Amino acid sequence: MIDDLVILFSTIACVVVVFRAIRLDRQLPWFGPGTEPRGPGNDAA
Amino acid sequence: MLRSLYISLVYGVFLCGGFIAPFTFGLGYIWVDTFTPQNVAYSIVSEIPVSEIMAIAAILAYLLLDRKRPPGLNLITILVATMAAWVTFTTFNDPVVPVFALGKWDWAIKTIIFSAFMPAMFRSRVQIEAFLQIYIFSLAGQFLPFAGKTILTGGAYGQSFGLVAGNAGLAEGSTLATVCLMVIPMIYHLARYSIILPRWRVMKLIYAGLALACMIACIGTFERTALVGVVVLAVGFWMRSKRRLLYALMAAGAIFAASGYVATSKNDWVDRMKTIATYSKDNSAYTRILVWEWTLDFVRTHPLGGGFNAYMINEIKLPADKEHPEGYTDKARAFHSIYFEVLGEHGWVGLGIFLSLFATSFLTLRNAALKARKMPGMEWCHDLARNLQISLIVPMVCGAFIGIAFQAEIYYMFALAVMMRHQVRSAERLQRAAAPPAVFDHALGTRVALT
Repeated sequence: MIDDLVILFSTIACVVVVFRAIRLDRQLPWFGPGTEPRGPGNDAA
Repeated sequence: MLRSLYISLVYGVFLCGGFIAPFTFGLGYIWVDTFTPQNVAYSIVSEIPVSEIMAIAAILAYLLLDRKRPPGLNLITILVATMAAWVTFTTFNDPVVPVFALGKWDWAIKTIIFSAFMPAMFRSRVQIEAFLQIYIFSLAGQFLPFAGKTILTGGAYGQSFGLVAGNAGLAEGSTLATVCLMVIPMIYHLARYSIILPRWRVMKLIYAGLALACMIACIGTFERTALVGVVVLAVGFWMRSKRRLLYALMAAGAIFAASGYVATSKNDWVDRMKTIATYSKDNSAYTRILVWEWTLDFVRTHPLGGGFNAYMINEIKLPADKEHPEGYTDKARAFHSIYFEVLGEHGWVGLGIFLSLFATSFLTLRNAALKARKMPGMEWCHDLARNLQISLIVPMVCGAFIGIAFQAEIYYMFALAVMMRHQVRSAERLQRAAAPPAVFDHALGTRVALT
């Protein structure tokens, strides 16, 4: 039971990171300042 | 079957993502290397060479589609390449156990070469963060079940509570404990500076939970190395803290309370930790010292090392104990130290390269942190470089007691140091390009902008 929950959590988190990273990597500059995305949930931007 | 199908689908996501953005193949390689889906699933991905497919796809995709803004040649990459060449030389130049040497070389060389390639694949801030996120969430597959089962059972020495059983890689207690401690500074950084996952309060709770789970899993291994690592990590965080006096007082109080507890209580964990002080009476710890003495003797006659797994020829004479009143001889005892492992296998040259890699990586991270601190908008880079310094110290110290010199986790740290260097240098170049043209004014003794 614990193992199955962990597999679910770990893989879902990885897939979310992959999708978000692919999208953000195209939108944001690669280097220097200004690499912070703007929008809800990113209060530091 | 359902588990295998689901994990195969996730593997497919990484493969498909790679065709959209080539660095996803690199993320897939890290996922395969850390989560080891081939060991977690029962079929499909367990029947194909998942790691090789992802590594070849990553290298081909980079060479054919994604060769923009690579990091320049640097000392760490040169040292990693030299290490790859040197271990190949010692493997094929009359190793003491040829078959076993070739077996270890086969996986170690892949780790070394891919780590040299990683900085070319992960260049942007998003790519570097994706590397860290995937690494930590993949590793969660090992430390989360370990932490959960430690809470339920109280933990035990030599237990495989993670998704993968056995006594190798991350399934081995002291390796898992060391890696758990290494990632805590990375988690701390992501909790404050993540841009890939939203900075919602719930995310901070998730990161705090992950760090706590790392610590519980680490303690639950009952490894003495884990206790050493906890102290190293605490000192690392204390050194970078702004309230050193307050934390020093808190630590003194905690140590006082803990020593009182240790002196008066009797439980398995405390009993195990107490053996640190009586290592000469404990065969496991004492054997390590004898193996290290054997290694020093061995390199006197083999200064270039004996090739991978050279320890297999050792014969260690152990003193008498209850079971063996006459004393006995133990054969093929592992090195149990990254330094003696590299020394015995690859001689003084190998050890020199290995130590240089640690020193260069540490100084590169320090340099990156110092430069990034002065640059506006690069606070994340400063914070990450400083946290990675702490992460790097953990295997440097814990590694003195475990043989993980060719595990990927250490080489990821070298690769991350190159990535941080590339980030800072690229930001500097941008800053210079954005600054108005200037000339040196001899009267003022400084550069002044042309207006």
